[in-house]
Amino acid sequence: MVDLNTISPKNGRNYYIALGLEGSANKLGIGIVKHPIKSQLSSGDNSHQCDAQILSNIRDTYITPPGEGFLPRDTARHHRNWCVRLIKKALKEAGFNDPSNDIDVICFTKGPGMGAPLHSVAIIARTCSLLWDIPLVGVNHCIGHIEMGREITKAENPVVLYVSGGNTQVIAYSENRYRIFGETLDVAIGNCLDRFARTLKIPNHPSPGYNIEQLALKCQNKDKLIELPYTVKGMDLSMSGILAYIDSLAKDLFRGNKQNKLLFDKKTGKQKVTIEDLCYSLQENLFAMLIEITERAMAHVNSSTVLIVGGVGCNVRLQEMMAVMCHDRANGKVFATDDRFCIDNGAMIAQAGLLQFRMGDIVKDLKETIVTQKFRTDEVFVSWREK
Amino acid sequence: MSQEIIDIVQNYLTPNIPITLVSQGAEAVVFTTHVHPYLPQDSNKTGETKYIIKYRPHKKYRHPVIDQQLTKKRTLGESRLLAKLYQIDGLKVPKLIACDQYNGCIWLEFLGSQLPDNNGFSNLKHFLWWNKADPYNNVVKESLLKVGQQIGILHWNDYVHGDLTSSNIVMVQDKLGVNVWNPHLIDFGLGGVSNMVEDKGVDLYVLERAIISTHSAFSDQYVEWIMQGFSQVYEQHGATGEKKLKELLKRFHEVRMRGRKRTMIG
Amino acid sequence: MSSPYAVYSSPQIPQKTFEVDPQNPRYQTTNGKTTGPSDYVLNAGQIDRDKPSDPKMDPSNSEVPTYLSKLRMELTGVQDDINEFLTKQMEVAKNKRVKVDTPKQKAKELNEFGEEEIEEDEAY
Repeated sequence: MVDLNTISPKNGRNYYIALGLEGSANKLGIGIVKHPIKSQLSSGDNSHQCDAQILSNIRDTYITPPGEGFLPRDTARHHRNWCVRLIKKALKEAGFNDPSNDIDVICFTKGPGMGAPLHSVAIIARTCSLLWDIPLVGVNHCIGHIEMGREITKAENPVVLYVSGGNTQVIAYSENRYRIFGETLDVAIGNCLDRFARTLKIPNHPSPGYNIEQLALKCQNKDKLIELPYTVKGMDLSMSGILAYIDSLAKDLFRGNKQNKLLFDKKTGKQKVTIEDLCYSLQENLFAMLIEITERAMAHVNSSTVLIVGGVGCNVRLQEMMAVMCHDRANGKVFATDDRFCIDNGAMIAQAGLLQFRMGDIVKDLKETIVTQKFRTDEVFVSWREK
Repeated sequence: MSQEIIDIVQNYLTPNIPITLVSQGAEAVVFTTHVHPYLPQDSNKTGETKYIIKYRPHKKYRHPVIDQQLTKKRTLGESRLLAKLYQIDGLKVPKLIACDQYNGCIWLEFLGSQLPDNNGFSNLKHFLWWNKADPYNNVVKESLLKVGQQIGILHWNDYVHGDLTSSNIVMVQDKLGVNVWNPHLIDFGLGGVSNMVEDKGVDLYVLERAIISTHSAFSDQYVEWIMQGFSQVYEQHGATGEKKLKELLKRFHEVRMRGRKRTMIG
Repeated sequence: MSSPYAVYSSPQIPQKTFEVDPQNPRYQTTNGKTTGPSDYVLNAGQIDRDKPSDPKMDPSNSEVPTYLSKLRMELTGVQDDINEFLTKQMEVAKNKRVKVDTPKQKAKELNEFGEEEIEEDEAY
């Protein structure tokens, strides 16, 4: 039986405070989360209703010039040089001035992600832990997304679609693990969109995916779709072929390659397709594939609700398509969060870490805080949920 | 289940063909009926013979162009594939009766039954759950060996399924009252012809993952039995078979490692 | 008040200590030589908005930095020392690897086998 109330909060308080540090990719996030002690959490599967309060949730994104991706070294430098300022700001926003008394646990991202940025944030976590004498908890980034999504939306046991720059997974819970039912066989959806944005040389601010979404909205030719490969393989999917193909179309468009009959009229040589059309078709095609594999997983586990998490989960068109699918299927429901929680942030690490902490799972030796670039969602034993 | 979809199908089939909803899969809705599409009515006087009507509804979430292409391609593709697969010696798939690709409808022979004690329809998933109390009993072992053999025959003939899960394998009881089960492969919407080891490797990987996620506690042994049955088929074909099997298993492991070792950022 | 230092050791180099020289300007700045943005992004037109903050001066004496600021500056210098040293070591290792190609030296290299190579990925 799951009892989330066995560990007492610091100083006899009736609530827990967790500081969450996230920096697995190009976002540095610092969040502070408060859990009141609730008698309902002494038993049953209630970890999605902790009444969590977000006392602060600050993020700073490392942005590169148009056409460029982010390198580990410069991203790590960004995190190193901003972390102290951000932590101070977060503490101030939460109204804390004595961290060693105010905070019960420090949670940091142990993986998966890019080595150098992960490592720099782990150092910050260790330093704060030693400085203030506060226990540490290492958190799986994907679990952070899932638990934050469940807490915010109150979705009890949804099929989870996790879509971000490095991940594309369809996940469902069973027997103390978040199990992966389907995933990409090559590149992640966010990476696919980011790389296409680089080919188009559109700005990386606020995010490449957001800018593609805005361009797609401006498409004037919505009934005519550019045919792209549709590569669903069971509950898995593949996107590298689609990316290579649409990249080549964009390059032909820029070069003005009149030989390409798909883009230019055979007789007049007039341009038939715009960048906006390409963005629209790419989104429609990729998202249709995502919805299809999600629906397959739902059919397989007999579920009628979906939770979308991860950076690409902010995309309004994706949420819309998912809602239509869920409605047609057993009048189901889709749960999604906005950019505060969808995009990598510190609060989600604090939320998942605090659940771990309340189950007594803390770092006992600093050796355990070594970060790992490869850390699969189903490796984590989910002690805070019922079998 | 959305009543709208049932109404569309009932309207298309007319009231002369009464239907009962069986299940709503991800991409198709499955009904049963006692009416054969073209044989005279009195050929099924007793009403004992059932037929499957598999309907691929219009998916409102996706762009109409993608939707029409997929529905037509998959309905037609599945029908053609089933017609060919049905002729392969030893392979067990449902018999195709009729196909209307423009309306996304296929008529098939009905397979399977209800498992005893309310354990649901006899697909492999329910069959394994039904045996949960004694998960490694001989009937389970024999059945999974046969599952492996079916996939082996499929791959040996250069076909792939594209969506192998324990829901897409139907267990058909050999004789009423006898605890012997013959697995049949169904749902070939993503299937096709392929002689590529990659496609076959992915097929096996997809099945392995489905078994792990749905039958976690017993998956190691289950997958082992399936692979044992699978290998038997290839081994029957002498040196060529052994060589192909080795190649295929190697790729299967590669696909698996690719999945597990992928760096996952953000 | 003591300054930070670091010690490196390997099978070839039993002990190398990195120490702060308080007079050297290298240890009197928060902008390190090796801890800036990479040339690659600068060439791509990156504007550096991730600089470390300047040291804070003691409120009572504007000539003297605060304790933590002094520590930050000294660490920046030591970090530069370590980075430059490790980069050099990587060059040495790389040159050794190239030499392996000439057959004459192959035997000699084999005798020296077991020397560690520093992979860039593992530097952090």
